[in-house]
Amino acid sequence: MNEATLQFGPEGHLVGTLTLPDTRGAGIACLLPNAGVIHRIGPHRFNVKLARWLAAAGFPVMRFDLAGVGDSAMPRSAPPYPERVLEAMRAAMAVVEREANVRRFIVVGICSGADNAFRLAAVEPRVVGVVLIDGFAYPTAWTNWHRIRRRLGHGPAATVRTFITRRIGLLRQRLAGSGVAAPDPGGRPHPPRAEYAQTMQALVDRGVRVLLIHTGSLLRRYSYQQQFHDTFGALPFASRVEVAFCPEIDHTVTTLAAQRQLLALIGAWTSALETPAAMQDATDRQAAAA
Amino acid sequence: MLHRAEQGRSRPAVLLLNPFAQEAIRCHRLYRVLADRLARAGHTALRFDYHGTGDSAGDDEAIDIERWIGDIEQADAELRRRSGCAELVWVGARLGASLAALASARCSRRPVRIVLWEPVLSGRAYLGELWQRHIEHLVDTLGHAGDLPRAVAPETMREALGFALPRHFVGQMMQLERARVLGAPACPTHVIAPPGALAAWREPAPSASSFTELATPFDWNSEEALNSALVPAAAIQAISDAVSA
Repeated sequence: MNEATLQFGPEGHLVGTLTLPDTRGAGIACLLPNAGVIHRIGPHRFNVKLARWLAAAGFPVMRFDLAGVGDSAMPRSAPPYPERVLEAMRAAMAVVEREANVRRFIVVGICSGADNAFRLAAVEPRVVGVVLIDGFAYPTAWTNWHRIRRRLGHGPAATVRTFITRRIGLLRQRLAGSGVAAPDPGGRPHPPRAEYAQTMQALVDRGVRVLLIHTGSLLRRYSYQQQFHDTFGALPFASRVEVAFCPEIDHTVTTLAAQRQLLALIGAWTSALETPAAMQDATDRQAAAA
Repeated sequence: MLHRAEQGRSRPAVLLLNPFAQEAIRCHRLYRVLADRLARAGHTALRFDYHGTGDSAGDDEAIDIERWIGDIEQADAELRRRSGCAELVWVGARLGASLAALASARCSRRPVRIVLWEPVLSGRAYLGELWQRHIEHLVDTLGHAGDLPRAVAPETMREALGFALPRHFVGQMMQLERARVLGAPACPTHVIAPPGALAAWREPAPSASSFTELATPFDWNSEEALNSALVPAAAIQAISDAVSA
């Protein structure tokens, strides 16, 4: 495995770390964009662990900072945020294409990274798979019920302990000067449900593999395994989307056990993909037929 | 990451030493902004990750304080080579500040000054604090901390706030004691800390050459870095002033 940190983009303002596998010639690469404003190592360095795991499995991986995040600067042109994100992600793809000779990508994103992966996949035919961790979610009438049941399921003593620990934590944050509550990461803007469904349908029709992972931190948005199918089950794409609800994993993958579990989940999903070479062959056949 | 001095000015180069784990993630953007500012003021600045952290090689289980002190010496040599500067200032935050103090006594070419921002003075107390935040974070985000105890003996900890704490590292942290850190600096030392935390450096006899009381609080282990950037201007100013003094 070989790792190099590169400056790239039209103005050289972007920074990313490219991890190349020892065995070259794979036809598919992986992009890891930022989760929120955490720089490219990811929450608790999870993106580094994931990149090295995927590279050991034969995938070139680019984990990178979007403009204005981590080590990347804002471009002088400063286009609006959505265009800026797409521009950065396409610039990262260009680097990987050049350095690793690949033309197909999977994107693994956490939180806002999942949103950006979804939006990229919608407009970028080179994306053949996405793993969206705590991405967009649409509560049902049962979501709150399952949330409360789950929270109370740890027993009254645990509930009281939780209340006291939270109060102490809030007090500590206030004393440390960060008393303003962090914005709920699940409360970020979502596309309308119909628009989301339309995009998801277009993705699976295009053959894009989709894995949705929901953690136990954003229960107000997603709180039980069947929620996705309760929401979209009547639509054709629903049966072709893989969904994993992991209540024991938190939003920033804090415990080492959670990190191992998420690595295993993503690893199994990537292992079940067609082999990179086979996917490349299929792409070449499609191109030749066209 | 090297930030070259602008305007061809030749002022001491600055080596930035990361804190540990979540604190390093919290500090990343602040260090970038600081390095840019120092470069504009004529200081070439270098940021780097210790072995087993950040972008550097090695996994969590490979972290080792003795190795990190060696990493600092290597980074110092690299910065001297790339900047052409004979004079270096080291800036460290939290555990990075403690490492700066320890490393300054060992390296063959000493920095002209070390700037320490809220150094960790007791590894035992620090690990205990990390555990408390670990539990608070899990309760806050999941509603429970599973079977984990509210308090543990620090020497038995094997992880905290998303990062592994291998046995040998915990053993090294147990040896990080107040007297060892306070007595370590082998060059002029500037300490930046909240007023209450400066007492350890001032009494009974000053262990540092100069001080800055930084009243602006900084929550080093906050997980809010996912959705908020925190680059306190007062901290940037205090460090920049200390470097340029």
